[in-house]
Amino acid sequence: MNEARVNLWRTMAMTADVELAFAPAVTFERLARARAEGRVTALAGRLLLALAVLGTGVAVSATGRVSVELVAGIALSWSFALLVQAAAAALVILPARARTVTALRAFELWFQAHVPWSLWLLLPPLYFVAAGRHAPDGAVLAAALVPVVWTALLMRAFARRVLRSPRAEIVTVVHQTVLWGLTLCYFAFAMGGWDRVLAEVGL
Amino acid sequence: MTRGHWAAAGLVAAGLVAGSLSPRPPLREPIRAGGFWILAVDFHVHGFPGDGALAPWLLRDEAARAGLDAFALTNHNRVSTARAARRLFAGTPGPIVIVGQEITARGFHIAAAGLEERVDWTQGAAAAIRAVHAQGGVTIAAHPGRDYWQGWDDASVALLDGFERAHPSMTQPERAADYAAFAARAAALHPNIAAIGSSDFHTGASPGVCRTWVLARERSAAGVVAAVREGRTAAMDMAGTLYGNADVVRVISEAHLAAPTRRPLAAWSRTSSAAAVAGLLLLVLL
Repeated sequence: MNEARVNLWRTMAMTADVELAFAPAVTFERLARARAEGRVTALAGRLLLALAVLGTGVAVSATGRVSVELVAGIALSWSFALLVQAAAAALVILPARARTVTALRAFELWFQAHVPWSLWLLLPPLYFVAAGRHAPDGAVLAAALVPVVWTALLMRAFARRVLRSPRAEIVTVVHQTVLWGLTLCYFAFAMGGWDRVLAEVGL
Repeated sequence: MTRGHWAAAGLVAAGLVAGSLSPRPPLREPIRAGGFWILAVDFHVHGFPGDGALAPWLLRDEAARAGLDAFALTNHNRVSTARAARRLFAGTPGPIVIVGQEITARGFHIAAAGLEERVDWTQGAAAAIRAVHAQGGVTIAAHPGRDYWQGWDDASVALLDGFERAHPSMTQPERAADYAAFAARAAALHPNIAAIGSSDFHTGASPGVCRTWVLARERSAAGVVAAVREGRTAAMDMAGTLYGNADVVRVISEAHLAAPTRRPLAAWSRTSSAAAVAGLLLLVLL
């Protein structure tokens, strides 16, 4: 079934990133076998693409325009989001003794699993420039559940096929806990502090 | 990279370059009337770091493009970003940055402007207002819809310097009705209370999309804050409708400043943005 899905994406001339999003187990396996050594330039390219998506998506949603200065400024400001991703990934990649690829290659493969969040960041601004009005905030926020769940499934496949972990579910839970714990810390800061968050939930 | 990738990357680059080359509106030159500066101000703007999308230098650029003379940076229960912005931009041309805080509590939100220190949000509205006044700042009831009425007793409303009469959420009729009801109540308790228009900018609706016209004796943060304290303001909503002090409304109307503030996406911005976003989608998918 997975092979059939991969063939379908290939027939549609999709990238390995898309194959990875829709058939993660088979694609992670294939990519890990294809090359065990990482390349700094490849990882840098992945990070650059993620920053470009972040900077452009936020720029268009927030201002309705793009410029080099605006996109670079937003990408720089929000680059900590990638640092959070990298920190959470490091926590599961570095201790994984059974993995058959280098740590650099593992990071490269993990940042290749960006399609769900890239779509979430790019589709609302595309709607904005096409329709001339923002997608409703509630709908955009609710739609974030899709990449949240999707990325957790990608991490489970990554843990199995790249990290070769026999306890992929536990690795996934650890990764997601660290990732969302750090993210919640920022949200709490942005919303006025943990004391306010606790007050809002009645504690 | 395949040819397709290079083409997609080229589309992204073309979009970014085209967007960078788009004509930039000149800084608005404020006008004077009857000894006052007529200034366009947004008293409720969120920035990064915080839950606003834009770092202060980008926010100030957007404020300038929106024709604002000043804006208050009002992150939730923090003043650090606003203070850093004020220091960064001191003495440089462009909109004045006013240090503010959105005092964010369960029963009320207050956009406070003209602060030096963070105000404790755990106290009641009246105590928070007094704490702002002790610093020389002014307090504005933020988006005073019925969700927040529980925190506003008559004593605290009477202490307010202003309230948001125009806010982007007014496009919802029930919100518009709530703000009109709060305006009637506030005017009964404090006849000289300032009507304020704010964008509450986070990631959508541009800064200044709703704005406040103030008649300031001096073109400075202190001058703007004093104008609010003395009630010399008119709030403008997204349709260009003015609310507030009748004399100020007349002055603004006569100065022909009451143009709609909702800026349609310019064709150039739309095309360059579409190219950049489409190019990135192609890079991701193909």
